[in-house]
Amino acid sequence: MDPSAIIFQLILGIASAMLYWIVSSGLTFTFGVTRVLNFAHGAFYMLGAYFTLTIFELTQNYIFSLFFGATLVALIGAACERGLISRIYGLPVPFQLTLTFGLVLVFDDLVRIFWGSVPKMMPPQFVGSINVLGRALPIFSVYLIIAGIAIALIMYFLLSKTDWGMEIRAITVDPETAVCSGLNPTFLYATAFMFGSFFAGLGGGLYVPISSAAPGMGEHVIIYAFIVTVIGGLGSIKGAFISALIIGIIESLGALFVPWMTIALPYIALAAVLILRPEGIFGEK
Amino acid sequence: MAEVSRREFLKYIAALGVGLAIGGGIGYSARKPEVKIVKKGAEEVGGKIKEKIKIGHIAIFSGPFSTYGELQKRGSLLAVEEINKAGGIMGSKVEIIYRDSAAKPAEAVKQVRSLVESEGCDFIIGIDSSGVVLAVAEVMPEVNKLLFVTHAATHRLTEELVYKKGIKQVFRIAVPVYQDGIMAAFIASKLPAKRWGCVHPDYEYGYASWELFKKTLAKLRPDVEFVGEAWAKIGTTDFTPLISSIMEKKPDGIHTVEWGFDLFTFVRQAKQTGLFDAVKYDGGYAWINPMGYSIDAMEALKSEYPEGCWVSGRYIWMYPDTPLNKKFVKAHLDRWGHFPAYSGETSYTAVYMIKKLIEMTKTLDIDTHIKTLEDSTVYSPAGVRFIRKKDHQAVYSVPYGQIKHDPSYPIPVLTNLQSVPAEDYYRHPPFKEMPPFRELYKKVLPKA
Amino acid sequence: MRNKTILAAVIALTLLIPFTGNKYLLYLSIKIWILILYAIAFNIIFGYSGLLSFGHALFFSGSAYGLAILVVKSGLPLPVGFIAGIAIAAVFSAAVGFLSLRHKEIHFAMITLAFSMMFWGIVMKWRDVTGGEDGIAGIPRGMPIFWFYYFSVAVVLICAYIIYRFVKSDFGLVLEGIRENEVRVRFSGHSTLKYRLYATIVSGTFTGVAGALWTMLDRTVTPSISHWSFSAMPVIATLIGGPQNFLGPAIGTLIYVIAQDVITKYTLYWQFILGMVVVSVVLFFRGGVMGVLERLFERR
Repeated sequence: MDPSAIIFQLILGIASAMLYWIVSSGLTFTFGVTRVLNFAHGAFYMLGAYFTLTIFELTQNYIFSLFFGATLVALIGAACERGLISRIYGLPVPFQLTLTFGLVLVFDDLVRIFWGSVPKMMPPQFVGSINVLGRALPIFSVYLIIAGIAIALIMYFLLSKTDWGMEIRAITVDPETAVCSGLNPTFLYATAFMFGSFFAGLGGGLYVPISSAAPGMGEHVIIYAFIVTVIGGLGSIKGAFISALIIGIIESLGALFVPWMTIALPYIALAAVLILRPEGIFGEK
Repeated sequence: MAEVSRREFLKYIAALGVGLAIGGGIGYSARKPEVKIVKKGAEEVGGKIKEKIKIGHIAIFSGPFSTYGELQKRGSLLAVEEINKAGGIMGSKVEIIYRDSAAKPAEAVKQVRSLVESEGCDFIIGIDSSGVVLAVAEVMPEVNKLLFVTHAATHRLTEELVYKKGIKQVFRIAVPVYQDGIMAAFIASKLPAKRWGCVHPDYEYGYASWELFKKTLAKLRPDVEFVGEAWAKIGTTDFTPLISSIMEKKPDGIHTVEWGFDLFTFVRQAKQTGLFDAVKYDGGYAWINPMGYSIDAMEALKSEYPEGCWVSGRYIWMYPDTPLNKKFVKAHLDRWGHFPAYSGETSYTAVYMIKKLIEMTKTLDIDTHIKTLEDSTVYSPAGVRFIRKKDHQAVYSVPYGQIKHDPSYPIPVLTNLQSVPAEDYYRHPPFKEMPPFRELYKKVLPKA
Repeated sequence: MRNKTILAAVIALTLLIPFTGNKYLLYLSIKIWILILYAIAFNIIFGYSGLLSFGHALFFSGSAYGLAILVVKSGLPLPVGFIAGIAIAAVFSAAVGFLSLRHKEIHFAMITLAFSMMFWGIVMKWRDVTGGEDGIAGIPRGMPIFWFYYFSVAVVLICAYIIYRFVKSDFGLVLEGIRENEVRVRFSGHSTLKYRLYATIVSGTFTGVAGALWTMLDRTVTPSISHWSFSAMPVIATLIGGPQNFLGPAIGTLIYVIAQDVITKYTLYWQFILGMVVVSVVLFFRGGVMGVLERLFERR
C-alpha cells in the first residue's frame, strides 16, 4: 500500500472527526457543568440542520444562516433547560436519559409536521477540491478541519480567559463552594446548556450542505457523540477532541484496511477503553 | 338501380366488415384505459359482496426513511379515491388504513395482526424493507389474507418463502433485486469499463445486489475485474474515507445501490472527491445506481446528479408510453403535485388488482383469488406484468436510462432507455442457475 | 394480603383471554407477558441494584439467536434450543458482569451498550450463520398459539416468582443496600462485586428466557432485537411503572404496550404523543404508577 494513500486517508479521517468533535463538545460540556447527559443533543443537531437550511432559503447567505440557526437552537436549548431539565438536576442518570429521550421523540415528529417527512437539501457550499498527494481533497473537508480547530480554540479561550469561563469551571469543580462564593447557578447552568446546544446546532448546520436534513437524523449522531464523550472522559473537552480524532481516524483507516469490520469499530474502541481505563482518557476517577 | 353482382356485394360487405373492425379497434383502444387482469376462463361479474372492502397498507412512516411511506401512500390513496368516486368495488366502498412499520419486523408483524384481526382488513399491501417483509410473510398463513408486496426487494421472499416454503398468500408486484444486480450487469456489459468497484450500504440489500451483479457480469464480460468494495453503514455522515479507499483501487466503473437520504450524501460527496470523473467515458459515466431514479432522489438532487449516469427504479414514470401510464402520471401529478414514485405505482396497481380480483371472482375466498392471480397477466401503468405461478413474482421489464437535465421538467429525465426482456434477467424456478439466460443479451442491447 | 388477591384475580382474568376468540388480543397478550418478564428481569439490576444497563438486548437476542440457529440451522429439537438459548444468555451475562464489575452509573450503561452493539455488529455481518439483516425465519412454535399462551404465562409466572423470592431474600436486601450506600455495605464485610456479578447473571438469564419465548412467538429473529433501542424499552416501561416496586415494571410494560398500540391506531405521529407521555412521567410521576398508587394508599 502506497504510504501517500494512508496519509490522505488520515486527513479525511481528521475531517470526519471534526464533525464528531463539534457535536460531542456540546454534549460533554453540558454534562461537565450540569451533570446531565442530554440525549436530545442529537435532536438539537437535527434542528440546527433544518434551521440553517430554511434560513438559507430566505437569506442565501450560508455563514449567516449557520450562526443564526445555531443561535435559534441555543435558545430552544435554554427553554428546555429552564422548563424541563432544571427539574431533574440531581436525579439519577436513567431519569435524565429517559426525559431527554422523550424530547427526541417529540422533536422528531415536530420536524416532520413542519418540514415534512421528505429529506431536504440545500445547495452545496464550499464546492470543489484541491490536489493533495495526487488526490482530490474536497474543500469541504478542509473547511471542516478549520472549523473544528477554530471551535476548539474558541472553547479554550472562553473557558480559560473569560470571567464566565472561570465561573463555569468553578461551579463544575465544586458547586457548593461556588454557590457560597456568590455565583449564580441558575444563570450558569442555563448558559452552559445554551452553549452546548449552540454547538449541537452548529454541527447540524455544518453537515447539511454536504448531505441533507431528514427527520431522525440525530439518532445516528447521538450514539457517536456518546461514544466519543465517554472515551474522552465525561466532562472533558480536551478528551472529546482527542477521542473524536481517534474514532475518526480509526474509521477512516478501517475503511481502507478492514472494510468488513467498520460497522463495529466504534463499539470495539468503546469497550476497549472502558475495560482498560473506565473513566475515559481524561476523565476523573 | 344497376344490378349489383354477388362479387361486388361481397366486396362491400367485406369493406364494411373491415371498416367496422378498424373503427371498433380504434374505439376500443381509445376507451378509458384502466388497470385490468386477464386470465383465461375468468370473467367479470357484478353484485355487492360486503359493505366495505378494507385494505391495510403498511410502510415506513417514521424515522429517517419516512419518505417511503409517503410515496407509497400517494399511489394507494389515489387509487382508492378513484375507485370510490366511480362507485367502489361492485358497490362496496373501499377503505384503506395506513400503519407504520417503523422499519422494524416485530412492529410490522404486530400491525398485520392488528389490521386483520382487529380492524377486519381483507387485504394487506405495502412493506418497504427486506428484513421486515420476510417476517411479515411468515405471518400471512396464520392470518390467511393476501399480501401484495409493493417495494421490498429481497429475492429470498419469492425464491424461498413462496416457492420453496409454499407461502401462497404472498404476491410481489415490484421487481426485486434482479433489477439492482442482474439487469445492472447487463448495462455494465455494454460499457467500456473494465475495473468495477462498488459503494454499497452495509446490509443484506447491498450484499445481494453486489453478488448478483458480479456473478452476472463475470459471465457476460470475462475480461472485467472487480477491484474493490466499500461498505457504508446506514446513516453514514462522511463518505469521503470510503470513496477515497475505493479510488485507491483505480476503478473505471462504479456500481452502487445506495438509496434514500444516504444517496443524497453520497452523490454530493462523490462529486467533491472526483469519483464521477474517475468513471467518465465518451457516452457518459460508468456509474450504475439502480435506485437512482427514485423520485425522492430526483427531487432532492435535481441537476446535481450528473448527466450521463445510468439509473433505474422499480418503475419509471416515462415508460412505457401507454395511455394507461400517461393517465396515471397525470392523475398523480394533479392530485399530489409530484411525479409518481415507483412504490407509488406498485401501490396503485395493487389496489386496482384487488378491485379487479373481486370483480372477476365475485368472492373474497382467498384460494379462488390465489388461483386467479397465478399465471395471470396484469395491464398496469408500469406495463404488462405476468404473475408467475411458482413464486408469485410479477414479471415485467423496467429500463435503465441515462440522467438528462431537461429544463422543461422539475426533475431530471432519462434518455437512452435500455430494456432487456424480463425473462432474461429475472431468475427462474427452481432458481439453480445464474443469469444471463439464453445469451440474448447480445441481440437486445445496442451499443451504449 | 389485599394486594395479593387483586393480583391473583387479575391473572385469573387474563387466563380467559384465549377464549375470547380475538386472535389479535391473544397475540398482543403473549407479547405483553414476555415483555413483562423482560422488564422484571431487567429491574433486578436497575431498581434493586441501582445500575442502568443499556445492553439487555444482548442477553435477550443472544438467547433468541441461539435458539433460532440451533433449531433452524442445526436441526436440534425445540426444547434443547430453548434451554441452550437461556444458557447462552447466562454465559453472556456472566461475561458482561465480570468485565463491568468496577463500572458505575453511566460507565456501566456505556459498557453494556458497547457489548450489546458489538453483538449487533456480529449479527449483522455474519450472514451465513445469522442471516444478516434478514435474520432467521421459520422457527417452530411447537404448539398452537392457544396453548402457547398458557405455556408463556406459566413460564413467566414461575420466573417472576423466582425473581421475587430472589429480591426479597437477604441477597436482595444486600443489593438494595449497595444501591443506597455501597461503601457502608462493603464495610460490613460483603463483597459488593460478588453481589453485583450474581445480580447481573440472574438478571441476564431471565432476560434470556424472555428472548427464547419471543422467538417462538414471532417465529423470526432479526437484528433489531440486538439494537440498543430494544434495550431502551424496559427502561421506559420500568420508569413508567415505578422501579422501586416489584410489580412496577409489569404495570409499566402493560401501559407502554397498550398505549403504543392505541396511539398508532389513531395517528401516524405516535412518537410525539409517546414523547410527551415519557416527559410527563419523568417530571411529575417519578415513582411511576406504583409510586402514585402507594402514596394514595398511604394517605388513607
